Order: sequence, then structure tokens, then C-alpha cells
Amino acid sequence: MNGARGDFDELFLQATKPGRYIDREWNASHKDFDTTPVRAVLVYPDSYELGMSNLGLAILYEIINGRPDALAERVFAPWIDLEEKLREDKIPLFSLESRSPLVDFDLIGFSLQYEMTYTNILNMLELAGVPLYAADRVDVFPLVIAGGPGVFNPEPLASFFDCFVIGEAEDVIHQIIDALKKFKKKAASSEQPAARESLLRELALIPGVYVPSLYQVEYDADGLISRFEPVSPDVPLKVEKQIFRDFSQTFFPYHPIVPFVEVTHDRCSFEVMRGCTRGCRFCQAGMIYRPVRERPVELLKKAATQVLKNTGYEEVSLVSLSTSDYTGVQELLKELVRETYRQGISVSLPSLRPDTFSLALAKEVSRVKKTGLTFAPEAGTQRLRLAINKQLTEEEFLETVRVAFRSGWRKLKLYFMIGLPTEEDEDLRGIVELGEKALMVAREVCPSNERSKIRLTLSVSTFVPKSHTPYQWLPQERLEEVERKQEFLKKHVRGPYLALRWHDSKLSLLEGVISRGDRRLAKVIERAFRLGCRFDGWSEYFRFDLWTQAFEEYDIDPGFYLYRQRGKDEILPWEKIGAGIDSDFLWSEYERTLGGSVTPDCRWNACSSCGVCPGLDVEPVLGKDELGCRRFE
Amino acid sequence: MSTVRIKYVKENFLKCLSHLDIMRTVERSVRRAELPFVLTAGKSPHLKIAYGPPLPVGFCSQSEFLDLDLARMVPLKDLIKSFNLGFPKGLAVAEARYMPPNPLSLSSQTVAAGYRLRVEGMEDLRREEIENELKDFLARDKLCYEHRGVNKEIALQEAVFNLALDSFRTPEVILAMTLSCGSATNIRPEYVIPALAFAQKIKVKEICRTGLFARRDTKLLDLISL
Repeated sequence: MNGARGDFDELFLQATKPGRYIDREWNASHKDFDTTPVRAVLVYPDSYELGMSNLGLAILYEIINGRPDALAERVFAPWIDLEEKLREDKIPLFSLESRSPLVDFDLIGFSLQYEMTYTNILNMLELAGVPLYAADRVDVFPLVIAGGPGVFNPEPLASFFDCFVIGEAEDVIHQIIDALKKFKKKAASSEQPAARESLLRELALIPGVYVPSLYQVEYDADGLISRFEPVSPDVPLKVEKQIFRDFSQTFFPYHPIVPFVEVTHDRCSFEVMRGCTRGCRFCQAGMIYRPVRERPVELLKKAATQVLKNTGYEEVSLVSLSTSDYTGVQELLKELVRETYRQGISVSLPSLRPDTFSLALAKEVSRVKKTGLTFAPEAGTQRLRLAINKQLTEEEFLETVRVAFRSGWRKLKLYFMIGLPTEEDEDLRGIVELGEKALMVAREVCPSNERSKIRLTLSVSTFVPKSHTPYQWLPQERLEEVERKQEFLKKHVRGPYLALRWHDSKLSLLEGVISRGDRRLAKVIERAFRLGCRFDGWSEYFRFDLWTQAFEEYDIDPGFYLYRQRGKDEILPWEKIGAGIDSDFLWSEYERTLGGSVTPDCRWNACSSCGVCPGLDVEPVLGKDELGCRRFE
Repeated sequence: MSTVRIKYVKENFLKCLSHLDIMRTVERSVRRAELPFVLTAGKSPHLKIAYGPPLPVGFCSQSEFLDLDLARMVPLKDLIKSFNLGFPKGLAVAEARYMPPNPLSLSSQTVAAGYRLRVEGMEDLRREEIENELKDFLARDKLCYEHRGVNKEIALQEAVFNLALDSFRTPEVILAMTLSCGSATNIRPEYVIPALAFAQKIKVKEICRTGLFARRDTKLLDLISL
């Protein structure tokens, strides 16, 4: 049904926040659906507000629409109330821009950002009228593919996707579109019906594309993977992640869409660099986005001027995994602030390290608007911080707090984790003590009439071991232990100036199962969806009881994935996906945790032999610092 | 520093947007238009813009207002052109005028709003029937309506300034009304419809705000003409 636009507006008006379903936002692209050779719809399987804050989607949207022979539109998960109406009126899920049903597209591309969006993925496929299981799809198109950090263990979703794009998609997407275009042309002129299988086999030959149906998995009596092989010799043994080779010379997006409604990150996100080699051992992003590549200050300065002109945004955010480490950060900031200050545009710097250098940067940007500060000590004791390779001393941290409060900040948020390897109760006490020490320091330097404004929030999440990290073999903290630790913290963190936030322990449990799960979880995810699970990441909709029921019905013990110490040589479900990191490096980093030794950042020290540079034939790309020295040797 | 009053339209396909969404869009449009805007002082500077009464979600409009402070005067023709280039499709400047300083805000100056309602469901009624009912309605003492679950009452003359049949081409009928709209009282078209005799049959298909007015002596004057 491709009804008149007006019909849909009436439908939207019956739902909450109808503004998130219309399109025509500034910079939205409207190409001719009927005459464009390759049509893709980019799907963020969560609300519009979250999806429109995702930079990856914005980048791909611009790249695909930049091609004369392709178009990209968007769709986001309809909220529960709109979903009911779509089902009631039998309206298939449609794209934002042309209101075309998803089945009319050649490519449906999902962004895998978070495990607890997976039931939304199935829901959206069903609403679209696309068979959930890849094996059940008869028509060649639409192809259902996925990208994003979740592909670094794609196995729980393997049965639902035709293929996955591993790593950075800026180059790969062109190869995929070229392949689809060629295939469509051939199919149109051929007398034989086009075969899905042959297209998938062609795609499997593109570096970075993982076609799960071309691999077979077998399990032994203990439930461990005994065999994980390609079905034929022309299928690659392993799929290595792709890197956007021109990252440092190019910039995307120049024309990001400016939403009408308020979104989570309602500002212009500016990617200054990719990758981080600080090597915090729990961090998957640090492993999968190597090596570090910076964009030159000149490029960013020019891009910033243009993007602000193209959008009219009143806030710009310098985004990366650790912006204080960007070589040109001082120079870029100085320039940016000079230009934007007069226009009342504020610059924000998320992901700052808790050191006084970062604080100097934060002060620079706060001239326009002073927001809260956020730092991530992650662990409460020096011992544990070193064990996870988070090299931050208490002195440095407290000095940063001192300077921050002396400079006028009053709100501070501190991120911690519980359930880290080698953690003892002493480390929990450390979280409380660090919070209390920070509060004491804040009060010391704050004028007495301002002290009542001080707010320190300790935000404690539960550590979930991830694939491609040194902790990928480790058991996750047991649910009862997590709850005991949370109780401990709740008891000892006392307000009103110090507040505690924690994550739902049952949600972390499920995140853990899925993030290191295998293909056998497909049925469980489907069952949870059929029982009614949606928007699992939203506390008002999370139904742990339904998930538990789904596991029981299929006789699968979540503990098998969560609580088991995996063997060093065990075949892991993400075996076929390469992040470029040597398994030996990861194991040795794990052992160094037990020994408490630190691995320095290869940008300013010796190479730590993680394997990425030789393995993927890449090199870090770093700028020159003020002394004109390249900091990488 | 000058203040320019802008009358703009909000097309029907943007009716899902709220007033807050429009405000956000206007600020960004002014930036994109590169107009010499003025920033407020203080911790969180934003553009100095005053808005007219909020337009509810679901409504379109031929006549919305904002007062924009500019650091210097820009020729109106250029201003309108730039603003329209900065506006997304669906919003457009209808008129612009530099205003003398006024102690009253745009919202405070507003006393009435005009609306056009496209309704369906009155096929079996005759034109005279409808016109008579509207006349009878206007002769009443009071208007009773419900607002957020609370029953309210207001003297009809203070609430409804005009109610007429604008067009009668079955099955579509267009009703025009001018209602009280200001900081004190705000009578929405949805309060008037249920009070009409044929309310049960009526299905409102579209509501468009057609004008916003201030009071000059005993007359209502379009805000742009002040």
C-alpha cells in the first residue's frame, strides 16, 4: 500500500510523538524510487530519537545517496502504539522518505548497536512482511543485511540475515551496491530466473562480507562447537574486518539530516578520529576500531564551517573514542570556539579522560555553555584499574576534580563497572571511597554558598565480557553476585550530594548471553519476540520473565554462555569474524590482568604486537603535535 | 537593533509537528539563512525570538507569527528570500514587517484566532439547516466545554467572535470561526464543535488556523498590521 501521504499523517496523529514519523527534515533525500537502480533502506531498530543520533547511519545515508545509481531511505522502530495500528490496519512497514513498503527495496540494512534491540529487528521484519529466517526467503530481493559493532559476534542473528558487513562500511557498501546493480541487470536480461544463492555467493567474495548460510556449525556432546567450516572451498575461511582507507582524507557527512523533533544527541556530531589504542582490556570498541586514524585539523576546520552552514545546528560535538588523545585537539578547539562563540554555538567534548589536560579543553568549550562533566574511572582501586589497563592514578583524578570545581563546574558524573575480573569487595569499597574523596575535594574548593549545588553521580554498570577482547573467555559475574554488589553500593553511597545509578542486572545478564552466544540462540530470540518482547532496552517494556520462558522452552541454559570459563583453544562462535587482532595477544593481555601488568599505548610507546597493522596492512595515522613531531614511531 | 514580525505558514503535511518542534526548526532556519540574529545573554545563549500562541499538533496554518530581533535591518525582500531558503519545505514566510518597540509581547498582543475546519458527515443536512444552527449557537449565553477533564463555562460572546459556513459542497463542508485566543482565554475549535446540534455526525478532517488578531478599539486587527 503506497497510499496518499495524508492517510499516514492521520495514522501518526493517533500515536504519541507523531513528529518522529514524518520526513522532509532538512537534508532528507528524495530520489526517484522507480528509476533509481539500487534502493536501500537503512534501519535503526530502535526509536527515531535514538536512531537519528547514530553517526554511522548518517554517514551511510550520505554515501549511498551520493551515488547517482543508488538511493537510501530510513526507517526506525515504530513505537508500541503505532505498531498496534499498523497491525490492526494491516499496513506493511514502510520507509520514512517515500513511504515505500520495505519489501520494495533491494537492500534492507540494519544497524546492530545493542543486543537488546534484536527483538525489535524481528518485529520490524515481520511488520515489513519479510520472512524472519533467511532460509525462508524465496525472492532474491530484498536482501537483509546488517552492520555495526554487533557484527563482531553475529552468530545469534545468523539465521535471520543474508549477510553481515564486518567493520567500517564506507568502502564495502560501494562494492555491495555494484554487485547488486550488476546482478539485477543480468537477471533482467536473462531468461533463467535469478537465484538468491548465486547472489549470496558473489557477495561472499567481497572482502568484509560474511554470509552465514555459507558456513556450517556442528556441536559436540558437551555443547561446544566442534566444527565451523565454509560449505565450499570458494567461500573465505575467515572474514576480516574492513577499514575505511580514506578516512583521514575525507569527511562525511556534510549534509546530515536535521531532525524536527528532539533527539537524544540533538547536535552536529563531528568525528575527529577513529580507533583508540589505550588498550583498556574490557573495551571492545578499542579492539575493533584499531588502528588509530586521525583527521587533519585543516580538514576538520573547513568541514565544521560547512556543516554548520548546511545544518544551522547550535551545538557541535567532537566525537571519537577518546577525544583528549586527538593530536590536534587544542588547535582545533581554539579555532572552532573562536568561530562559533560569536554565533552562540556551543562545542561539546564527550569522552574526556580525567586529567587536567582534558579539563583545560573542557574549560575552553564551556565559555558558551557549561554542562556537566563526565569521566570514567571504571574501577575504584588503583590495583583493579591497572589490572584492566586503565592507567589513571587517584592523584591525577582528584586533581582533575579539584580544578573542575574550582573552575565553576558543579555536576560530575563518574562511570564505574562491577563484575570486572579479579574484583574483590575491597574494589567495591574503592568505588564508594573514590566518590567520597571526590566529593570532599569538591566541597573544599567550592565557595560555601555554592556547595549545595554539588552533585556527584556514580553510575555503575555491570561488566559484560565481549568478543575480541582479552576477557572473551571469562565467565560473567553471576546474577546473585551482581545484585549483592549493587546492594552493597546502595547501602554505602549516601546522598544528597552523592548519588548512585545502576543498571538492571537482568538486562546485563541477557546482554551477556547474546553478546557471546551462538546460532542456537536464534530460536530463543524468536520465541521471546513472539511472546511479546520489544524495546527490551527500555525499562518500561523489558520482560525478563518472557525471556526466561523462551530459554526454558528450548531447553537452553543461559549459564552455558555466561558462566562458563571458555578454553583457550575452544572454537568461539565469532571464530569466522576477524578484527585483525591476534588471539595470542588477547590471551596474553588476559594473563597480564592476573599479573597486574600494564600495556602502554602504542601511539607513544613500543608496539604491543596486537597484530592489526601487519594483519590488515594498515598503519596508525596520527597528526603532528605542537612541536611538529609525529607522535608515532 | 530591530524587530521584524514574520507571518509564516505551516503546510498541512507538517501538521504532526508540535509548537516546540517548530520553534527548534525556526532557530535553525534563521542560522541557515545567515540573518544577523541577536543572542540572549546568560548561560545558555539562544536566538532572541518571540513566538505567537502555540499551534496545536494536528493543525496547519496560514498565519503564524514570530518576532525576530536583528542586530541590523535587512531589506524586507532580501530577508524574506533568505528566510525562505533557510526554511524546510512546508514552512514559508507570507509577510514581514519591521515593528516599533512594544512593551507587550507578541503573545500578549493576541486576543483572537481564526480557524477553518473541513468537516464531513453532514451530507444529509441542508445549507439553511446548518446556517440556522450556527445562528442559534451564536445567540446563546454560554459555551460549555471540557478541558483536560474539567468542565468549564464561559460567556459565549467572550469565547466565539464569529462562526459561519464558509463553503458547502457536500460531502465537504467548511466552517469558519474566530475564537478567543490569548494569555487569558484560549478557546480551541474542538471546544466549539461538540456544542453544536449536529455534533454527533461531524467528523473534522482538517483544521487550519487562518489568522491571529490583536484588538484595536472594537475591531480585530491582523497582527501583521499593527
